[in-house]
Amino acid sequence: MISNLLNGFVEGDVDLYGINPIDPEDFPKVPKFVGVVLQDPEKQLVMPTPADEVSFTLENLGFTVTRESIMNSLKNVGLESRAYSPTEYLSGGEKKRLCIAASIVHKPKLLIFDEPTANLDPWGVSEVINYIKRLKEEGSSVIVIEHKARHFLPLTDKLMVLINGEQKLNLTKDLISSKYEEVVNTLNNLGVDASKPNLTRRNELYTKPVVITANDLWFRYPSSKEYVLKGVSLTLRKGEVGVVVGRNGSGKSTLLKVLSGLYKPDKGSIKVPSLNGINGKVRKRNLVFYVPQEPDYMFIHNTVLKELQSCSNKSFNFDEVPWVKEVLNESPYKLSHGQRRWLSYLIAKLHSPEVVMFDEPTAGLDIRLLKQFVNWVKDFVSEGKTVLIATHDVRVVCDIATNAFIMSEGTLSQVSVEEARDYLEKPVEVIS
Amino acid sequence: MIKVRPVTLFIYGLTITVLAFIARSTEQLILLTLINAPLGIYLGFKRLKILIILFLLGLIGLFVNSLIFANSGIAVLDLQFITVREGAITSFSKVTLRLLTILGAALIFVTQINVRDFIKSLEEELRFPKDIAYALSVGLRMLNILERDAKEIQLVRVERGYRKVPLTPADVGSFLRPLLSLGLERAIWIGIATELRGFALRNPKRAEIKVGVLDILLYSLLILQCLAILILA
Amino acid sequence: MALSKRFTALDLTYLGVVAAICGVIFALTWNVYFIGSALGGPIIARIMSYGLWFIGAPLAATLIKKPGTAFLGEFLGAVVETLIPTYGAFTNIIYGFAQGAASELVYAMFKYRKYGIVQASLSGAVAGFPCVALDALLFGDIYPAEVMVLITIAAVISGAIYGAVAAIAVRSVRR
Repeated sequence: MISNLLNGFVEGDVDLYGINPIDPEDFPKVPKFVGVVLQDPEKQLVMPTPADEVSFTLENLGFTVTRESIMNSLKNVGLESRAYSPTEYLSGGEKKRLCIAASIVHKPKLLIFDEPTANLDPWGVSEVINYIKRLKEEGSSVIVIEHKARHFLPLTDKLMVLINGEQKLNLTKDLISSKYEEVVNTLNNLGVDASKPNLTRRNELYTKPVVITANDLWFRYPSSKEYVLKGVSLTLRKGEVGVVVGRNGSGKSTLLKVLSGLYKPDKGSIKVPSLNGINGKVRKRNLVFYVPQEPDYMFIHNTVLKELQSCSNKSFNFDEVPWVKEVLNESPYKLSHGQRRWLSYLIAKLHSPEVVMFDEPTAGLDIRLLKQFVNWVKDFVSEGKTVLIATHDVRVVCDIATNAFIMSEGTLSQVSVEEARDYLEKPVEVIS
Repeated sequence: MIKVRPVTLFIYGLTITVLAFIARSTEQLILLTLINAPLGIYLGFKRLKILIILFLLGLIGLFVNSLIFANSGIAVLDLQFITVREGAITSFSKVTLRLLTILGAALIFVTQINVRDFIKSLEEELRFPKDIAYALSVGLRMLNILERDAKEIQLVRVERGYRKVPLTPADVGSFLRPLLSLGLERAIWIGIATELRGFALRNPKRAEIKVGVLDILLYSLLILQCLAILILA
Repeated sequence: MALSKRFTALDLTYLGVVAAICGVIFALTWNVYFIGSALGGPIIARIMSYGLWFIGAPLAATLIKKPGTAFLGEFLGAVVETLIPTYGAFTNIIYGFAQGAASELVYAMFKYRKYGIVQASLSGAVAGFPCVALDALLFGDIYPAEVMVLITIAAVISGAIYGAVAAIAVRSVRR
């Protein structure tokens, strides 16, 4: 459908309510019949407030815009009270709902969702799935494109699996409901994330030496009066993989930045026994290294080679990651998404830290890249290093966590890995 | 609450700034400053303190420059190590008045305007093409996101042992690349989403320019100042 | 011919992104300018910072490669900066308009056929002239003519450097 914009090339015919979207003449008419909700709300919303966002669609398509029509559409997604507050203050789930409102305000006959659950925490996911369910009940046709099929299976009428552009599987509702288990297995085998994650048990590490302890950390941003961290304490031992789960905006990222010594806590102490040091020193020696969500933030130089050389004097062992050899003189930004992520892990590792902190490392990753990440972490901790991950991805919790924390409104509590999983699963389970 | 139209504010601010550029004599500049600076600073004092403080700091640098480059004429003040002469004082005060006028006009504009209304009025009242209005709203929406990006980039730079503020071309390059990379990645999707929401079909709504009491007041103030500048010239 | 090429929503979004990047960079540049002034006086400050303020045109033109983009990139960047607002306030719009127009001229001279590093560097360099002319109106009372000549040279050199930096950055990022 996008061939008209991106200079792509499409062969074949599509019949969409009597028009052919591949034909450049018909293409501008497509929005009249189809509403599309893309993956990341940050890559879709363009107006300063929700009301403008909705009226933008209406004005484009030549409808007369009234306050009433805007409010009705926002009411549908529960955003009427936020109609005139700036878009950037909305939560992830609210932004997603706004995308939906803006794409369906003109009542299109067909709705397309591109990975509606990526980039959302479980609470946001549950909001979106509920909404899709409602749309279906109200009689709209909906196409959902997803890695995580399991949340949608109960709603599905037709299911199709595409691998490398080939249609591998085509199922109908009767088959899905009558042979549910079998379908889930087939999907899993094809690399689609269809089943509930299983917990793999790991050894307890309570006897290992402590790598980092934080005691009663308080932190607030200079621009705000509200504390983001309200007395957080935690201990990590050598070889542990800790996960911090919690809603968007609960303070997970801030905690990682404070622990890495990038922000100074207003109160409390961080101790790294191998250093006998406090706050400032942690960063100087890079014993705790923070890896941001976007790999692009990590790169400084204009070739991969310089990037690697700048991190460490040691010569680099290419056997671990053979592809790096091929791209040494490329700009890091020209690599594929998976390669960029891998390069950012490498950079972190080359700074030879004891602890690496990952902020939402798996948001928007498919199962292949997720496995890559999981394996990297397993290798890394097997060398006696420690990892702390802020995430709301239940797959990460189940696959690698040895130690879990729930962060809620600035306070942290240690829980078992099972509890962390249930905490993330609960909001989504209610629906399916 | 009565509000001034964004277009009025825009025209007022821009014209005053142009006047400040044109005005050459001290009398002209004093007039402009007396009208615009107190009002602007009064309106902007709470929200934009930092800007005003920066302005005062900038003045110190200006004074040093005027001592170096324009210190001529009769000696006014003799401080052991340097003699301050008339030339330095007059040139410094002229430039200061000019900058104060500009600051005042800007503070009036920024405190009274709502960015959202401003962009709307660009398209509806000033009849800007829909393309420009759209690009500007994307720009302002992205600004918040990019500021967040810039903060993360600065954190990683500190972590990896590089300067936080880009001072050399190499720094700037390494700052620009991630901003561009992320910005372009988002732009592709935003562009697609916008096209899919029927932007090509958009026919911008044009509205008549409405004028209220405050607008008339502001326009008259503007015309008075223009006339005064002409008379004093 | 080229002039009638319509902007797609994608081009316009690119423009918006460039304007936002300019907003961020322009705002940061005030720090660079003040640091430069404190360390090395007005000439050094201008070499270090002025080119950064001209970066909108080469960024947008190298990226979108259509007539008008150089001007719009610089001008919209300046509008965004005014709305933030930064220290320069409304002068930004005036400077942005003049600098953008000068930069656009370079691409026009190449008949909108070439959008390489050389053109980007040139477009940054010529933006120095209107910029210093406006500076002369603002600060002319302080800086005598011979200092103005030095300032012009500084602005042009800085513009050339950062024009090239912008084009190289775009090239190394485009996938």
